[in-house]
Amino acid sequence: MSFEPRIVAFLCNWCSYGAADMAGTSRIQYPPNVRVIRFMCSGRIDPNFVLEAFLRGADGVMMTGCHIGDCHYIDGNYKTANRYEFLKHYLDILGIGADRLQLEWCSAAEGLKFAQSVTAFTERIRALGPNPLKEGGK
Amino acid sequence: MSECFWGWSMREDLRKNGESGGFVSSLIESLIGDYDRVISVRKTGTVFEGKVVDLKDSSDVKGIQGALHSLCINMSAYIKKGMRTAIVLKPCDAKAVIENMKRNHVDRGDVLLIGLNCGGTLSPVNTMKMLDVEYELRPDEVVKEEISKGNLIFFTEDNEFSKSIDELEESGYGRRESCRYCNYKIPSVCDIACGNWGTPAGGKVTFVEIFTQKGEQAVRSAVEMGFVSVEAPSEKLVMVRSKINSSMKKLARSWKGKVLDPIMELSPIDRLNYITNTLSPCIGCYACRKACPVCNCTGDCKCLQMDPDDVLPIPQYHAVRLLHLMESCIGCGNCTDVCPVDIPLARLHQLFAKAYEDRTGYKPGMSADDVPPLSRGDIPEGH
Ligand code: SF4
Ligand code: SF4
Ligand code: FES
Repeated sequence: MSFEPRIVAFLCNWCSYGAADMAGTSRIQYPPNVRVIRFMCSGRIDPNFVLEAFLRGADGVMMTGCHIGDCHYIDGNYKTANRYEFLKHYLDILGIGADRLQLEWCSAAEGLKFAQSVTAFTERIRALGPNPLKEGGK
Repeated sequence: MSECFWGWSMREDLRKNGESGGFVSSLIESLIGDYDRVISVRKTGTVFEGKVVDLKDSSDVKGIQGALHSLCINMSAYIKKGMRTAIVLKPCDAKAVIENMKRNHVDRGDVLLIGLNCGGTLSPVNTMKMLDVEYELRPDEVVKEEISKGNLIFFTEDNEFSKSIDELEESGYGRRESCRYCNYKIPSVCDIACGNWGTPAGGKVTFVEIFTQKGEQAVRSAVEMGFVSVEAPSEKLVMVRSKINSSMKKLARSWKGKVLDPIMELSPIDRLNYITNTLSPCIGCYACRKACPVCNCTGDCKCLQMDPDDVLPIPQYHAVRLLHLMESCIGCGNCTDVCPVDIPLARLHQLFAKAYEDRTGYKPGMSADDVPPLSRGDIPEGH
């Protein structure tokens, strides 16, 4: 059976969630592999949520938020950016690999960008194969 | 700038019986009354047994032992916020205190840190086994132990038994694993660092290095009040001390090369399997968190809310701890010591921490003013 990546995407309510919405209403196609979880701000994405997604079998995790300077809570996304960099080191040392995590800034008007980054990320994960934490992969 | 001295106790009994002329004992005696707590370790039976004491008067000073090699206690736990505390501790304890200062659990102004140089400590159980197997000694026969010139020496009433630490460690005895690759031997973050490196043989003096004004004041007033005496050390022995320090560090590097580097060099998938398998016997008692001196969330600690019965490839508790400690594990080894199923936790935490240090240059426990690279609240590079 061919491998279909399971991707968990954490979306900020004010931007990337809007972008995903826009992609939908504009009928822009993107792979159905992402499971979207909405947050009020990307700054709420506790690194632990990312870990939990991997531990529970996600093949890839996306963190998305407003562009730097546009966060509705001023500096929530500074934290996101720092956590993302920190998590990348961690996943790399752990052996899951930093390339299974992706951060994307998307404004609510960037439906196309959102769709494109989901597509690109899905393809990347497809090439990487299943999360090595899952025995045998599925 | 630091200053170096040889120091000794002015109390005849302490000078004679104290390992290195009783300097530390007399120095802390001079601090009783000045500080709310004056904390050190006292021998309670054999050289392998001791307990932490809060000295209240001069009579408490007898039997004070700066350090016992097989008493691996986390001294930083005895510092309470708001209590003026003078404390004798080893380098990793001192690093833990610094980390606690960063987390606002300790005020620098409240503490006088009297550090001890440390070439490593021994786990009590393993030491008992080693005494039996390698030295054919009973713990109660031993009156003194010493690490000197690469040897671990045990003294009985009328004999001494010496073995090469290298050989002992190759066969699984000797120092605790985390001590083997610890490269912080002279605790320069303290106010004062004391030890026997760079002292004349049989000289009954302590080598004292003073790092701060507060340390200098403490020593000066101990001298003025007649508790201790100091003199300038010989140049030659200052050199000897720094040579011992660098050879200990070299040894630490080679141990890191033997223990941690091979794990980092595994392929990512093999490393992941190694970590997963190593953690798999965990029974979720959370003792390792309790023992960790830098991990001290109170109240709603997230780690403790993880369900230990939740079967995941890596217990979520450990996944989070490995993440958090990547920038703060000081390598004390306390977690390994307490694990009831003998998981080499410090090895895993140090694997992450050392790799993170190699990547970012950031070392925890070195200064209360250091902020980890990705916790500064600014926008990281490339965003
Ligand atoms: S993780 Fe273990 S070795 Fe590291 S600071 Fe905590 S107790 Fe010490
Ligand atoms: S001390 Fe050992 S058994 Fe207990 S939680 Fe830590 S790793 Fe698991
Ligand atoms: S509100 Fe969108 S990242 Fe903070």
